[in-house]
Order: sequence, then C-alpha cells, then structure tokens
Amino acid sequence: MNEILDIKQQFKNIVQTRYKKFFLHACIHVGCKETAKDLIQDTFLTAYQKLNTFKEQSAVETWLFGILNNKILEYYRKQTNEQKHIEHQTEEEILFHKNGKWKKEWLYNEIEEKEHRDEQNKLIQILKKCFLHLNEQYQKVFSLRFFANKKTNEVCKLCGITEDNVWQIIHRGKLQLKICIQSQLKNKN
Amino acid sequence: MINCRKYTRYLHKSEIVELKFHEKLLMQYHYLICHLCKKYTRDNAQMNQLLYEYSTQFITDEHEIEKYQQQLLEKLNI
Repeated sequence: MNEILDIKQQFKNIVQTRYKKFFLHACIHVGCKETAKDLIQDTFLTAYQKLNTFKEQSAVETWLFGILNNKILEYYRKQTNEQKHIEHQTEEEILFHKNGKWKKEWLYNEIEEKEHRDEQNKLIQILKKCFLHLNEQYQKVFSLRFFANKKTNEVCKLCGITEDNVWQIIHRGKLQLKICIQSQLKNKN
Repeated sequence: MINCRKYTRYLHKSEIVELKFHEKLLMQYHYLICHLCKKYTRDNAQMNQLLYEYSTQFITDEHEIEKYQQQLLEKLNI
C-alpha cells in the first residue's frame, strides 16, 4: 500500500516538474502541439490506471517515456493510411518564371539584407508563424527531420512514405515557407 | 544545363538523399553561373539553421505548456 502511495507521489512530482520535457519530446516527434498534448494525457492517464502493474525495474519517468514512445508509434501507424500524394506544384508557379528562372522579387529584399542580424528574432517569429501554416503532413515531416533529427529512413518508416515523398515534401514545404516569409517581410516594411 | 527551379529541387533533394553524380555536376555548374541561386542557397542554409536551433519555439510556448500541465493534473486528480 505504501509502495503505491510512494509511486503516486513520484507520479505527481513528474507531472509537476517534468511535464515540459515530455511535452517537447512529443511535439518534436509529431509536429503538432494539440496532438502532443493528447498523447501525453493519454500516456499519463493510461499509466495512472495501471500503477498496480508497474514493476520497479525502472524509474517511473523511464516507464512513462516508454509508454509515450509507444503512443507516438501508434499515432504514426494510424496515420499511414492518410493522403500521401503530392499536390499540384503551385509554389513553383509563384516563385519561378515559365522558363524556370527565379522571379527576383521573391529573393531580394533590401531591408531584410541590411537588418538581417538585428532582425533575427523577428525572422524567427515569422518563420514560426509560417511553419504553423504548413499542412499537418508537412509539419510532421519537418518536425521529424529538423526538430527530432531523424534520418531519412526513419522519417519514411514513421510516416509510411517513400524517400521521394520526403524530399518532395521538404522541397515544397521550403518553397511555401519562402513565399510566406517574403510576404510577411513585405507587409511589415 | 538546368534552370533555377531544377536547381532548388536538387538542393532540397540533396538534404534528404545522395544525388547522382550527374545531378551534382549540373547543380554545381548552375550554382557557379547563377547569382540568384547563390542567394537562395544562403537563405536556405539560414532557414535550416533556424529550424534546427529554435526547433521547440516553432511548435509551442511556455503558457500553453503550463495550461496543458494544469489540465492534466486536474484530469488525474492527484
């Protein structure tokens, strides 16, 4: 009985002191804060209901991380049936002329050039805003690639897509970010 | 010869998979002759750096984390 109370106390301490660590771990793996929140809630609620089955072969935190990682894998397994095809190439039509050359207005921005170093925070805020405009699948691939530092084959496995899909998503996502950033900078100036 | 559109595809592709020898050559040659793609290559490197360095900032903020934490504590009722 005392053991269970002790584990419950540890459990409460973990939620109070380590929640952020769990949240960021889930976020960088799924690329969406709402999904991350749901996965963590699910993890903690499941674990709390199964406290009796916890064998003290590992720390409670390690046990919880194990459950969370399983929830993340489960989430990706459910997602693999989602739409995977790459849509019409609209970003390229916006950024490039018909002969394939850059439209200069998307690359040059005098103020951006001059104030570049001082304005990094502004740029980060804009990039953050633009990132949230990417669709869910793109956010997932970007998160796994850049935030969680996953290798290409791991991204493919988790998302259930091919290497070609990954680079095309990165390509189209980056062009969308470029359009969004430049548009925001133009509006601010 | 490739154009700027193709160059950006190769550039982004090279971050995910190893390019074929002829793709690398075409890319390098275009980079040498195109100042706009040189500029884009720098912009792209900066975007990568920001995405790697400030990753957690892109998806959440402190207030939200606290809010979610409270919600969980209430649900758990401990």
